[in-house]
Amino acid sequence: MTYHVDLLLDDERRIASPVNMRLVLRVGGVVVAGISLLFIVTLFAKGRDAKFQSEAAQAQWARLEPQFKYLMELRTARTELRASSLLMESFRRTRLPLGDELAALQAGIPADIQLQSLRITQFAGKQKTSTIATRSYELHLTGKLTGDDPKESVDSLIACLSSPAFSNRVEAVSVPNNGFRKETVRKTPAGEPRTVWFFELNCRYRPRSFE
Amino acid sequence: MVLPADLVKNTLGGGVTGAFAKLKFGRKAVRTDVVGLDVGDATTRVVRLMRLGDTSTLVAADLLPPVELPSDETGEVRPAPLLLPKALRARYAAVAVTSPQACIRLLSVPAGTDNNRANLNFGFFMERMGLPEGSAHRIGYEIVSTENRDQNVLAVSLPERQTRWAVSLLPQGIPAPYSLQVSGAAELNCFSRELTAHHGDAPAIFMQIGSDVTHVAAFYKGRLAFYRQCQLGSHAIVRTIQEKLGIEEKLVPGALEDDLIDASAPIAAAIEPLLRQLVLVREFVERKRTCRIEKILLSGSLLGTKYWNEPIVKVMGIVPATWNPLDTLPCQPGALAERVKGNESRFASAMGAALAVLEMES
Repeated sequence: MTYHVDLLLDDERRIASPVNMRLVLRVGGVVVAGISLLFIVTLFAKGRDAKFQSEAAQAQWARLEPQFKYLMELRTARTELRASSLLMESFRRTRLPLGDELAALQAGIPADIQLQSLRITQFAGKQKTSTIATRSYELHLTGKLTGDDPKESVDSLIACLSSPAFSNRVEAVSVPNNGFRKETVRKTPAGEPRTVWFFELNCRYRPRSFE
Repeated sequence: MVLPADLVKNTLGGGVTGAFAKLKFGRKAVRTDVVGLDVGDATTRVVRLMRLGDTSTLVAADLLPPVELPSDETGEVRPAPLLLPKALRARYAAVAVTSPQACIRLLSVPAGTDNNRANLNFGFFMERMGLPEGSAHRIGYEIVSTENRDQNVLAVSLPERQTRWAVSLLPQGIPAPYSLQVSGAAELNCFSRELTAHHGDAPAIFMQIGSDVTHVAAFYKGRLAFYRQCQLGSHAIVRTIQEKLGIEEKLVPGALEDDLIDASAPIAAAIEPLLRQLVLVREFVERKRTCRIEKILLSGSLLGTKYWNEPIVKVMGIVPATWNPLDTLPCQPGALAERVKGNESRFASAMGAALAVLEMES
């Protein structure tokens, strides 16, 4: 049996702490107030600083704005020019250097061959693996020759077209069906018949992309 | 149980600390380190008890200078904080107030229903305890036992000013006040434990002599059966002896302890009112309980105890024993300060207050 008649009210009970809560609250209040004051002062100082910086920046902007605008115009012009240049460059790359081709053809064609026609056809296409546009060329040659061994001359012409002067650009050289045939014509002053060989050649160039 | 605060006049508001304490104190936590303080008397008695498992131990005990109890007059109650030596500084304090204005009654009230319990209100206790109407008192009570249709209620009251004064002795830090008791009730707690530990269920009378008030309690089968407060204490005894022997008041204690003079006659005359109370208590208990009182234990301010035996034996037929409350618990070596020696019997209230807190939660 415990005879414990406790007269202490709940309001009078407190935590057994060696630290004085009232003192802690007071010190805490002072610290919080100090920190708040410091924060406000810092905020005010930073605000003033920002205002000065803003004014300086505005003055500087007013001074630099014309130059900046001129610079921007230059940049836009440069961009447009660069785009045009690239476009032209891509066109240039797809162009077949006909002068070189004809010069090479002139140098490489056998003497017994007489060219009758030369036609270069151009067509547009696309690369197989991408959507980049390409330009393709095909050279169609017709000619005639006489002699004992016309086939050799034609082969020589084909070899010329497949030579390094052309091979970088030429993909394939072919003789179409009935593209090598002989005809007998009266050509001699004596009216003697003479055998003339006619030939046709298709020379397909590699596609040249706009890339 | 403390009566609702709205019925108690002039109670202090809790403030921030109080509100915080309300949150933290669920009365669930176990207090294992408690200092018991007995304040308001000629000395301040302090004991520190610690509990380890089921065993409570006396860790330190000391007598400190008195702190003056506020009078009944109006005015602010702001005593200087009570500074305890490090050895006595526990986390929580059980404060017992020794006050001539404290009132303790063992009341018999009808038991049982909630209606009866509802009747145990402030007005009821004011009336039954004889407190003047309009006075500011804090009242608490504990139901001690229930017999047949009655229950014995131990009711205590203390002037509100003195409760506030006692609480403000420990305004901050440690120890924090955890219990506020009236000394006369707190010492019952210690004596009850002594009875259980060393005397079994023997019917016994316990007399605690204070400076101004003496408490007489009778225990039957280990429970409080009768309680009486006498407005007579060691001060009155000293004054009587002083008048009889014609010596200065401050020389009285020395004269009683020495064998230079025979103080048996003045002592017998001085304690005569107490003897009458003893007889009354014995007769009441023996008649009501149909038993015989077997033991009388004395403690408190026992001046010239050696002269007490003869008059007590003469009227009671029992040789009284002096009870040392500090023997109630195991004591750590070096726990008792030098000042305590010879004054051990004064610590019943401090021990009882601390034990009440330790045992409340065990």
